Amino acid sequence: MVVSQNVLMRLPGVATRLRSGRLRPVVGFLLLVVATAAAGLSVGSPASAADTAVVYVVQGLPGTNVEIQVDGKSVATGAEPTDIVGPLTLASGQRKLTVRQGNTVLLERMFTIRPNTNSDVVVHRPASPSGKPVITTFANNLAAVPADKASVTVAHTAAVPPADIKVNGKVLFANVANGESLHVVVPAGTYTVQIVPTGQSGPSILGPAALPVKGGELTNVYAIGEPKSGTMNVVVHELALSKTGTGKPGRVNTGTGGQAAELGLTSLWSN
Amino acid sequence: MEQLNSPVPPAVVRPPATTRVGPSAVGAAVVKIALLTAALLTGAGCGASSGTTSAPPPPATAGAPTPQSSDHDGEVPPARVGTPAASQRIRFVPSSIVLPGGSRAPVDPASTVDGLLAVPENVQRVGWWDGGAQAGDPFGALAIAGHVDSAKSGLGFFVQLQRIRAGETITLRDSGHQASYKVTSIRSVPQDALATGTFDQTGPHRLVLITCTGRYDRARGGYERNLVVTAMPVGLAKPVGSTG
Repeated sequence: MVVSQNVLMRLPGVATRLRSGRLRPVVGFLLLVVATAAAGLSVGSPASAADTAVVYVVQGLPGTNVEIQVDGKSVATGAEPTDIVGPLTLASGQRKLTVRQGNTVLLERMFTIRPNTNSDVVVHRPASPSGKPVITTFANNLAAVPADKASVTVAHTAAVPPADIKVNGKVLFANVANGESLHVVVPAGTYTVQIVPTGQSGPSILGPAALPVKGGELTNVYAIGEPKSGTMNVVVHELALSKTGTGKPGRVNTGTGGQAAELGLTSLWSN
Repeated sequence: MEQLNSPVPPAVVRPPATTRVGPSAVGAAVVKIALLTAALLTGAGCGASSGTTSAPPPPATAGAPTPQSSDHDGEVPPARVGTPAASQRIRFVPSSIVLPGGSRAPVDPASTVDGLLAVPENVQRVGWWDGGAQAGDPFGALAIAGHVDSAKSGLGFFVQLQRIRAGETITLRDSGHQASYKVTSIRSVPQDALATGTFDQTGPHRLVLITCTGRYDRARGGYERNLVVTAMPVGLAKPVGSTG
């Protein structure tokens, strides 16, 4: 039974490529929409908005342009490394993701979508440089943040052993293995990020590189590729968040009776 | 961008996923591939090469069908489910504060209204500024303010800050977590100078407790100064069984 309206628009996702030690946003690429996809996906569950979820497919395989299919329907052709396909609105339940290179199926995996969720489905290399590509799903943390704070998730999806992620010279994310991620809320700004082997100062796996993160946004950073072939890179996926909290106070007035002063409790701090 | 110009894909793709490999991997040993596939199927693929993590199978979703229940090819293995690394920080909005000596007060979120931090009117409760850091964050001030006294209710909970000392411990809690801080400085500032730096969200994470102090101006109905207690985190925020 044909159900969900499959939204196959490509919003201005931001991919970022690493060159010369800088993370430079690369915008404006276009993903081709396959006409047949607009007819919707054929799935086995009832259709309603409550039964859908938002999914982004992250192309984390270096050196390869691929076609991405969901349940056998093409959602992107010629997806380049660091491309982000989506947002796709998919019916909840079990979906099948197929990654093709021409007529060759590189890999195919089932993944579970819960209703009203938002997630990244990342096609990437396993930790072993000789391993076959894998697919890992990461839930997007859409919790609101203050307007001047950035929500950041860093995920290890590269062909390297467990690594430490240093931010401004300090290890902020320790011993992250392939398929693992860490989330943190930090002041908006530009951070110097470097990935090194766990517990070691080098050799550097990636960076140091400048990573700008915006206030009021979730920034997902996926480390992809493999050091030996020089294909280490990052995919940066930015998602707008709701804002929470209020601005900095100018004054705090927390004494209106004077009893503490009468008791001599505040006299120590008169100057 | 390269376009593959592929025809409309078939409705059902039936690649035996265990044997389809990319061109560069054609020569790889079939046994190795089979082992890798087996690892993926059992959920042991996460960090398998490192041996430092033992990823559980994808968490069971309530009512979710099993990965192989699809009406498609039953051989298609499940995708991995990303997991937080063991070093994932805990962050939480504090719901209570424990001062040196063990006295405890509830903490309510407090907003800035017309430039003034709107702390709870109940002087036995204190307010967490909702634009600041949460407990466990790596950067920024976590600011909590409360009454030293009020005309209506007398002495407030934060009258205790007048006698706090450097080196003493303050604990923040919510229903499942706690974070401890050690007092590093106590200072008083004129009220109109409080805002300078106190609420900054850059720099190392710290706890900033604020109340009023100094001379009381009865004509104006307020104190001249603010007391600012700064405390630095002791370790990371951690889970606890209950807050009592």
